[in-house]
Amino acid sequence: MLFLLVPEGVKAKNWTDMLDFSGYVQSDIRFSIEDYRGPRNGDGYKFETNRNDVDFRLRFTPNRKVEAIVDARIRFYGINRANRIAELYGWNKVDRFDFQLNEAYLAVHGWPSEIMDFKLGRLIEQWGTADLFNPTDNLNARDFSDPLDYTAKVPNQMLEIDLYPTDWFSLSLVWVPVFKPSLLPPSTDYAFAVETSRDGCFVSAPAPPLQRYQVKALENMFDQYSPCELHFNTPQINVMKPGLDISNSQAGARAHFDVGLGDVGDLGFSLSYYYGRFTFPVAYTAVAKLMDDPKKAGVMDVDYLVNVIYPRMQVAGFDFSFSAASQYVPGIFGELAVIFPEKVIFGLGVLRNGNVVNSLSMSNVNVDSRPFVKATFGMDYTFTSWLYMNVQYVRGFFDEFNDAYGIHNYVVPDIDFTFLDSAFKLRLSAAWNVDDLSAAVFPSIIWVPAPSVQMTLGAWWNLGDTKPLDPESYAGRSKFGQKAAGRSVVYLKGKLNW
Amino acid sequence: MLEHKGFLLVVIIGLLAGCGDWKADGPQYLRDTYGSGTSCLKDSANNGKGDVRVTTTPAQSIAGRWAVEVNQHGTIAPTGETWQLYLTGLYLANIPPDGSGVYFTFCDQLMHVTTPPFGPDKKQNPMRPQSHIGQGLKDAMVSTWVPFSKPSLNSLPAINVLWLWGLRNMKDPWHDPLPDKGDSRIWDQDGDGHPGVTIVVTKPLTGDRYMIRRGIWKLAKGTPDKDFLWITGTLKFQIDQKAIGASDQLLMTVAPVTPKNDNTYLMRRVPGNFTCQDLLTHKDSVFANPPGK
Repeated sequence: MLFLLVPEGVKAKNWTDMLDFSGYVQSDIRFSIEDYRGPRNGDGYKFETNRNDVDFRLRFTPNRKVEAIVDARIRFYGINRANRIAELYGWNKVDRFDFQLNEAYLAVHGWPSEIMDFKLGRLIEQWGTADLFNPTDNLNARDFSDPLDYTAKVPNQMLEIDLYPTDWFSLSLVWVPVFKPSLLPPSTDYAFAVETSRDGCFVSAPAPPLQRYQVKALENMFDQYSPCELHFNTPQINVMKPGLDISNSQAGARAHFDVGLGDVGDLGFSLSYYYGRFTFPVAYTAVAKLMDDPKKAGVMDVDYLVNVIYPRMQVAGFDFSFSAASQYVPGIFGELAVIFPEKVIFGLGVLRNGNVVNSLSMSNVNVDSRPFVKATFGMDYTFTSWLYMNVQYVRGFFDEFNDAYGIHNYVVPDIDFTFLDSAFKLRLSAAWNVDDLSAAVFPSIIWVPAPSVQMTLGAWWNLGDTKPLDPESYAGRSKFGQKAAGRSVVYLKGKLNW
Repeated sequence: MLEHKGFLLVVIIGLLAGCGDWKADGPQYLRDTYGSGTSCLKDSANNGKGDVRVTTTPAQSIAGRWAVEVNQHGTIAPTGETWQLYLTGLYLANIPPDGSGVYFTFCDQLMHVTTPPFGPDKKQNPMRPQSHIGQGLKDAMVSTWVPFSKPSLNSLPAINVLWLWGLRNMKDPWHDPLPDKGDSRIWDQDGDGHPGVTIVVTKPLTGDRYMIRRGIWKLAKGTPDKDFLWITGTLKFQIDQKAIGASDQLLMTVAPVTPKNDNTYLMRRVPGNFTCQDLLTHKDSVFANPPGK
């Protein structure tokens, strides 16, 4: 594809002047440091990850107006998944790997007008001014397939047009033809999992997004059986993906302004609009299918089928950042998104031996159509050459959409201590849910033994109750304590950039 | 199912109101999928009742479903004089076959207070204060899972059980001081619109008291009978409670409970379909003729 972009005459130029090659090699080993956040108690204290990544980024600029970017990653997982002898006949299970194309796009600058750029292809776009928690940034979904790599996004094909009519104003227009959802961590299954004892006896089930009295009616039904007479099969979670019609396209516009404040500092702010869908799934329907075991009286098989959807939304956004001229004033930034959601009514049905149990057919508004706000406000400050701090208040985590779980509030501090001539950095980071008091704490020590080389020893602790604080409420689960938040691990990473 | 809208590429905030009729209708989807049988989808509760009977077939272990009576005896002194307080807690318990723990569900708590005669000559009839748990807390079916330190199937091991009424998000729920009115850790657990849980006082005053409470049981090892139909044992308990509101300010006074040492618990094996309602209706017959009495 790159060769098709090369205009005539390029061959006469020096290729090394047109190519910029960068990338990295990274090793990542993780070990779980608890044994209670797995499928059952006692599952833990083992290697969770043993991974190697190789990333290549190629930038091709045949002339000053045109460039093409290709960024690809090959990942080897390092954990043998072969269970049958036949799977030892090749590499597929023994040494699994995958290939990910992070970006691949062409960019044309100053065409058809000097004030206009456009990009087309597979892109990762970044809007907003906050550090990571950007409620106005909705063009790319999030990639939480690896929860420790929480900055990752899902690339998508898009067309972007940027206009620069003045040096203080710019306008971006983006069209994303096809919706792509966020990737979820493997621990997401626990959000729907029925907890059983080692012998398969029913212990508890997550509450659906229903009213308390409705949940109790369900409990009463299951209370008719001894826990060991209920055989729950693995819940089946179906994702109802949007169609490919043009109404499911996403679009956004962002107007950015830079304002010089003289001796005070610099202010930048943006107004933005987004039309599309929320990229995390929202509970839509659930059906419990109960089948009496014909061979054993009183024993019930239970299939649980859940449908989740990606609700539509429109987002009106505002973001700003201010950097003071004085070194004694911290930088401040913030984002505010007013989200106009699609109303989602959750429905639950119970079928017993194929017949609908009307008394247990229930509905509840899971997402109201009223607008709601997600926001981030923060400040950062470099106290000395060895101490830096960034603190943010976040209203609404990435996956929160004002459904029955609600919108929660968070404090996200990040403190860096740098010492030994910047060879070492101690980073103390956390995300604290001030509503349920759960937290994720992720300290790390970063060592730079040589230029371009970085070794990181760190930990990720999820703190909070694994069991719901209120078992009869969809909102009762602990944000970071629930098993769906993932394992607590220590990790060792080594990375070489070139 | 999902209504479609065209999209606009320009920033026109005024059009945002146009998304008000977006709706993803889950019940309609179920009707479409499972046919007209679900046409009466509605919000409703199951009021069905199962047969009421205790289990008489001998078992091989403590695994199974149990009706539980917890008898707690303490004293209170709201007027300076010592009153005797008898609390009878009624619960359901499930012990899985691997003996990994016990799952308690609260059904009700009965309170009985005896007071000495009062009056200048101490000859007037005792006052006999009366109150009971509000229906909301009974409906809430508060539950707790208590894991055993190691699996046990031959006897109920000694365990500590924590019950929180109207409290959540406690950093150390076993030891933290109870919060005051207005604290975010207080919640409307019984869903009646008042913070905490509601205790209905019927004598000598009448009204509702809104309370938070921490109850801690220290159950001694429970001994089953040879057929594993009964488990009996003793316990120590601790109750910390606080009134955070009341329909009448005179009901705000809550006296500390001083536990006595003659506390017992009794567990009776019941069928898998035994419910709290069954227990409340037939508690006398369920716990009749325990072993050793």
